[in-house]
Amino acid sequence: MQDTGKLGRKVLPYALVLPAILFLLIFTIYPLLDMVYMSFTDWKLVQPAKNFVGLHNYRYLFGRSDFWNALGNTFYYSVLTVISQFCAATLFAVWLRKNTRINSLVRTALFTPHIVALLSVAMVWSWLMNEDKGLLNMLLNLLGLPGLRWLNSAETAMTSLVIVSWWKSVGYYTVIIFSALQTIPTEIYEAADLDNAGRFSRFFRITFPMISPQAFLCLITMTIGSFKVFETIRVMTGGGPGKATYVLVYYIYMTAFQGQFKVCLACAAGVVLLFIVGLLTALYFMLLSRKVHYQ
Amino acid sequence: MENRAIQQITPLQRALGTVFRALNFLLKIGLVVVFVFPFLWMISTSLKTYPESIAYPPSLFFAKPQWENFVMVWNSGDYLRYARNSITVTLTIIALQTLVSVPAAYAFARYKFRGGALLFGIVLVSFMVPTQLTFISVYLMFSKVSMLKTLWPQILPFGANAFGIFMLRQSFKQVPEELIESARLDNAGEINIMFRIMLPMAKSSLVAVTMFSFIGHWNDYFWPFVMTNTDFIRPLTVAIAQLRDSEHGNQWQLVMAGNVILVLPILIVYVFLHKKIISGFVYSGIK
Amino acid sequence: MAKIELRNVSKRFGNTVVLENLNLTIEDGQFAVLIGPSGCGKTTVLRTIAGIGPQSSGQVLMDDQDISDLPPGKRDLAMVFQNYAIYPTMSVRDNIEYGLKNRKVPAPTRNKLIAEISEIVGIAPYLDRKPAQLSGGQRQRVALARAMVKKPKVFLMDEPLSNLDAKLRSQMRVELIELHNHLKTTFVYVTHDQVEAMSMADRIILLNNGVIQQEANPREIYTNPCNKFTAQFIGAPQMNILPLPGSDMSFGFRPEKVTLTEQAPDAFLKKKARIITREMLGSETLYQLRFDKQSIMVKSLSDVFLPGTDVYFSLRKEDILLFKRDENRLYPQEDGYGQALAAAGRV
Repeated sequence: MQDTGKLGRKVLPYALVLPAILFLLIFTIYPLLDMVYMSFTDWKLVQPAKNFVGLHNYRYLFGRSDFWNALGNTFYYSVLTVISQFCAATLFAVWLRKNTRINSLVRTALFTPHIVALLSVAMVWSWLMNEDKGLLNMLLNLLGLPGLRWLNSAETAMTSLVIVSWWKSVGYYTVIIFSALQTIPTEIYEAADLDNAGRFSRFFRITFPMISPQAFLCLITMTIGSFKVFETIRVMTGGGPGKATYVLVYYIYMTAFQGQFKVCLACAAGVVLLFIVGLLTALYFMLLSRKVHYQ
Repeated sequence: MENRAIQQITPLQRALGTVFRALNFLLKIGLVVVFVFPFLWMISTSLKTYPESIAYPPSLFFAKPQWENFVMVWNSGDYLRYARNSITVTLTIIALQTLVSVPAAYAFARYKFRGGALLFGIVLVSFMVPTQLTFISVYLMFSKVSMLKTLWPQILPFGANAFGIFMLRQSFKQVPEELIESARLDNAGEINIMFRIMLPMAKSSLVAVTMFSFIGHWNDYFWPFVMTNTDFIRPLTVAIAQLRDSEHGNQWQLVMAGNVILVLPILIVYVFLHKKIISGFVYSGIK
Repeated sequence: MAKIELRNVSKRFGNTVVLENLNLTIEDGQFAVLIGPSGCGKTTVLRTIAGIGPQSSGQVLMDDQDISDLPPGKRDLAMVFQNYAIYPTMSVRDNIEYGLKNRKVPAPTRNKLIAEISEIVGIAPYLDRKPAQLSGGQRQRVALARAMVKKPKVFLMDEPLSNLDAKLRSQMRVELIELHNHLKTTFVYVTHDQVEAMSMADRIILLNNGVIQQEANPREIYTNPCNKFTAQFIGAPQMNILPLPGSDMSFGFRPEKVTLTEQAPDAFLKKKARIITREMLGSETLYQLRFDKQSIMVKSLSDVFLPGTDVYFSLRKEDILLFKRDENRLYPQEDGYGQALAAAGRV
């Protein structure tokens, strides 16, 4: 045990990483490459032959309005989710900053939805947002207001989904930004007091710059997360009404596994998603390395 | 906050301050309600009768708890099997991940070896690839080897936890070099150093990674949904999603009962361990 | 008990050469202190002896046996690290016991050793605590106990006192001297603090840029430095060095060897100078003097001289050290000594 030979010492690191690398190659890297490959073929799940068709699938996709619709929906959903989550999380974190009992209770409550299955969250909110029997409309009626159509109208469905995802994740980001706030030394605020800094300049000149590394990371995580949305769509709207809530991942799933099982098209849409996520990831690591550099 | 001591505080200001504090407190309570109430509503609905669940105006509570709802849901399918599937899949994933990720993270943290940077690059790339991009190929792969009717498609793809390897590597790296040199002087072999010195030091991040993984896979719906088309390999999440599509779809008290089965174990653990759970998530979120 | 010998040891990190062809012998039972400015290679020497940062070339011998290829755990030596390197997840007892367990020492012997050692270093009451619950001084003792319990042939210590406060440090210095007298084992001690070196060492090894400048006992190294670097490194305030008029040599003298008087004295070297600053140290007083655009430090028992006034400073012939152009000492038996000394007297 003590005297692993010279050879043993050389082989040891490879032996230790081998299982992990194998798993990642088989179940992440290969499928990714396979997806890219399939996006250049005409393959369908129900047809055995695979022919190379070049960029045909991409031309086809970008020529279809339902794909553009899915892409547009995804962006709409992402922008709304990210902005609402980020602003609320920052606001909540600053508001709940002091370590009092009530603040810690609020933070704990805010965080709760994060550890619960998104599926269940989607189901409860479908029930709350039910047009006829849901609690939200009943409350609106009690206040003398007309009920909303929530998930049943093309105008409100997407926003309703944003509300649900906001509710699910805002607590998580609040807690992350809150803990970033804790790392700011109090002396800085004491110095700012001596400099007679106002509340707003204190936030924008001191607080926000100090937490900006974590804030940027939150932004990127939020964005990537919002591109992956599936559960709520599948459970709450099924992409409808009409195609109002068709997003990219749902489009990929439906194209591959429903109807004509056009795997090749789904893969091409997947490559588009990969491209978007890759771009965001590159940004993420650029910021991460900057952050490490600063410390 | 109130550092302008030079100015005299007038009674009006004092009154405004009290109002402000009261308002602040009420807003906070309001926020708690917004985030906790849906869970209470879920539980409350699950114990109502059908007429109670759709009554107007709504009642917050049930007249008499309808435990039958749970019995009905439980008997509407092979729920014992679904629950067992969920538990088997989650626990096997965690065991496999620990076995695979800890040695890899250790090697990446402690050894310099040819190609190490490239292999770690694979980990970093995998860490960012969402499952929504890989499911098609993985599905086809398992169908080729005729394993779609087993639990393996839900387990094996998560055998290596790229995020976990990344986190554990960070915490292994933080162990000071002198500690390891000291252990070498104490005549400790490599394996001894790994188990006696390094692992205890990485305990908190190992716990965080495990918890993260457990919650993630217990709650996961997307992957088992696309990987399973046979009833007897489905986990709880997929089964409960199907309640909505079944004949009980509009019986909200039953749908909610199903969700309570899924959510309650996690909520109960959260009530007792929320401090640890939150700090675990923060720990992994900031790194 | 062991003699340590380094033969032609070189150490490179990439392109930077830290040690080159270093030869060093530390006798059995000696308290050897390696001292030098930071980056001089003293810690590298220690780690080479321990085998935790293997040398690039050369040999390490213990009792005339080549141990260059022996892993650190088998070298029969113990090390105390600067930040103690105590295993934070183990209790104090487990920390001390770990090395013994790895050597397969039977449990009864282990317990006896732990009881004995923890009594000596005074940590017996804390054996079941975790390191986080200990003070800095207590951790230091745990690190010491962990090294002692192995009954090694050689103790290696890497600035073990630098993280302690001043009072505790002087107390631990005395304890280490006592420990060495008690164990009679070879100690190799690295420090950048000359007070530690002067007070504890049997032999001081002064390093600079990976080269040994001088190896001698504390008294010798202070009174008889062999070059300018040694002369200025040891002693605080440092030795005054002035250019020798009419040559490219220089001469030096220690601040406490200077005598200050108001009237011109009858001495070998005397000079009028202006007092610039005065620092009261309590028992002594430090003056900064200036003359002919040169400035010197003087340590005096007298505190009566005031800044801004003129005084005479004087030196005896035997308190003047001469340095050649290559910065090495010019010794009395060498050619040109008398002439150079006479030049110094005419400053």
